[in-house]
Amino acid sequence: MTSQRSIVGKNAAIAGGLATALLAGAATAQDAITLNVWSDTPRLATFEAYDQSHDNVTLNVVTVAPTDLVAKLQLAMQARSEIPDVIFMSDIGYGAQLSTRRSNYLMDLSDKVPQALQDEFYPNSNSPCMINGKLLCLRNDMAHMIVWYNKAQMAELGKAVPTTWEEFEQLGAELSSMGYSLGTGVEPWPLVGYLMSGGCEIALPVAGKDDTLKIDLTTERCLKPARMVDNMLANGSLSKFGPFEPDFVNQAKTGKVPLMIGPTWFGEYVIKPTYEFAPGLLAAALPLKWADQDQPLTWSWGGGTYGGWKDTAHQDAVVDLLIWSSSDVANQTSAVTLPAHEPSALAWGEKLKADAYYADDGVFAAEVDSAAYSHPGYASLRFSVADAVAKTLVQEIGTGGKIVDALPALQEELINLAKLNGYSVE
Amino acid sequence: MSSRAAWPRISIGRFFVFAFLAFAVCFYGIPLLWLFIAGTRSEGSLFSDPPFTIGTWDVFVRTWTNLTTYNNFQIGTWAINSLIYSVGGVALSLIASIPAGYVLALSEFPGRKLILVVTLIAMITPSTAVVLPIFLEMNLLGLNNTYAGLVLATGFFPFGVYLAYIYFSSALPKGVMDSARVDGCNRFQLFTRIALPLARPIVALVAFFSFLANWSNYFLAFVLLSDDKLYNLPVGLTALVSGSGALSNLPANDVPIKKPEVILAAVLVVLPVFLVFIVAQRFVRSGMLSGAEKG
Repeated sequence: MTSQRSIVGKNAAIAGGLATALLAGAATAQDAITLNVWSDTPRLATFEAYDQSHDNVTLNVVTVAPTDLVAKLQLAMQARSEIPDVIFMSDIGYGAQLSTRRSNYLMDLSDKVPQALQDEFYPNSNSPCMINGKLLCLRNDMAHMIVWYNKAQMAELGKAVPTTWEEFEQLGAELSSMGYSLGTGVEPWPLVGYLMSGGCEIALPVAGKDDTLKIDLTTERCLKPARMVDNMLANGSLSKFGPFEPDFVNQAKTGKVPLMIGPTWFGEYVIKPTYEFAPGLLAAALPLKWADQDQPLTWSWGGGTYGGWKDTAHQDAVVDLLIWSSSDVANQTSAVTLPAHEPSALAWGEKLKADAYYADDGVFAAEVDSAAYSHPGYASLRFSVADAVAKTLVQEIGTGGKIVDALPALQEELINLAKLNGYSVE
Repeated sequence: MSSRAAWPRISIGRFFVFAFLAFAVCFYGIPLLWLFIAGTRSEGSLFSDPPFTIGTWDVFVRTWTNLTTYNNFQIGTWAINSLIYSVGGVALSLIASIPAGYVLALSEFPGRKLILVVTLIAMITPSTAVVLPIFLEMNLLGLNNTYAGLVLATGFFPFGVYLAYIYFSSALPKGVMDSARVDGCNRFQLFTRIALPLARPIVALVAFFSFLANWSNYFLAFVLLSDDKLYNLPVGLTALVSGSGALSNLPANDVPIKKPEVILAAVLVVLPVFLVFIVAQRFVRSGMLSGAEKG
């Protein structure tokens, strides 16, 4: 009897243990969440890091070609299957393209991301995510234009680094006769940057009015930078080759580009590997301002954003992933480009400050100090301003014309594009 | 006099023909030659050195390593997937198109002409026009993001049906078929024992064209597949190249895929087609000529 009782007791204990284990397993299964993520290749490491550091969340990460993202997402939404919970958008235009009536994908994060955290992002860094007054994504990295220069060469030439666009034009005029140029005058994004620096209203969202753009290229704020570019193209101080064209690359490699305007990522990913500046030469300075401006106004070229699906079954987990990806300091410290989240950027910058490749430790300071001057109009639009610039201004330059003369054509092109894409134009 | 006699005399007409052929060889061959050479060069060399500079072995090995080791040799997975889709698509298209062409060529039945016309229309309809209906159909069947879905979609090969139809209607000796019928072959045996063995060149030709279409299939694969583990080479490499920014103006990342890796990837995609053509060229040539003359 004793043994029988003992066996029964043991069986009961085993059964009890099994039941507990099953219940615990069921509870764990209930808590475990799988999120589908569409990433580009460079962001895979971020999502893998999140996956590894969060036991209750499993990420099913799929690599999608950045250029295919919108089309694939529209297909998935049409089929109502395989819709990702989180996406990385490498083009700032995707936010606007994925928040339309027909392609209404993005979750409104306005009241889901604490204001205190939103304030930790650099001023205007989330402007591509503010669409019709709603915060629809979180910015990953900054890409505003700054001044890049060869410090030793500028000293050798006896030239000071310009602080205004007038000085920049003057420096170009002086150096062009010696065969130097100060960057490119035909790449669409830098061209937009030159024009925007004066406050030109090239398809800028109008505050307080949904889907409304201000397009006016007839003002002096556009004409002044346009004249500067025309003058510099004419005397050769701005190259008629793009920054990735072999002619320009060879010019830069042979020391004929002592200074140029470029985004924050240009130093590490273009000047260093492609222009092959030797170590100890490259330095950076704050963006330029016009003499009549109080402070610079600098356009950007690039910078990705994270967005979530508005109809996801795991809203809290999605928001957590979006916040972590864009603002986890430990994660962003190893990011490839300058984080938009200020505490992350400050940690990220330590390696840049210690990098002996640069002429001094002022490169990072120039990058973060100029973040405050980022143009608030760097917004997500449903059409490409750069394409319109390529079609009008770049084509005009290619045929020997002046961009001042092509501004009306650009204005018309932008108005047409805006109206075609459902915007009202002021 | 003797030195003048040593030069072969060619007419002006022949001179222009040869000059045009030489121009065509240069015009179409030089980009291919450049493609094969450029994969051995570094990014810096691509920008600065003359176009036909041959790179170094070390650079080639580094490029190869960057391409093949990235993301746990993902490119290998895509290559295997491409092989599965291509072999599956070729098999299915052969199973469907050869008997279909045979029946359309040798049988009279109601609606035969209509089927032929529909085949022709399907042949000239751009694949992009039908890709969305195919996507929705596959989605309904739950076959999106599966090997079976893409193989099933690519098995539809009206060009193969038409090629087989032309071959069977023009090159198959009627006397042989009649003799076999007299000897007691039923319809199925006529096809399997007589027509099919004689149709080897056209089978090879259809297989070749089907392989070509499936191996380089981008758009259908792009639409039907959203899981990168199931990508074929064209879609996978596009994702990789586009993500790395190697060919765009946004190269701000540490992905080791730059222009040399992209060029090598292009060679890798083209190489199997090249090899298949070399191996199959005898069949392909005879298949192309089959039916050209009645004997």
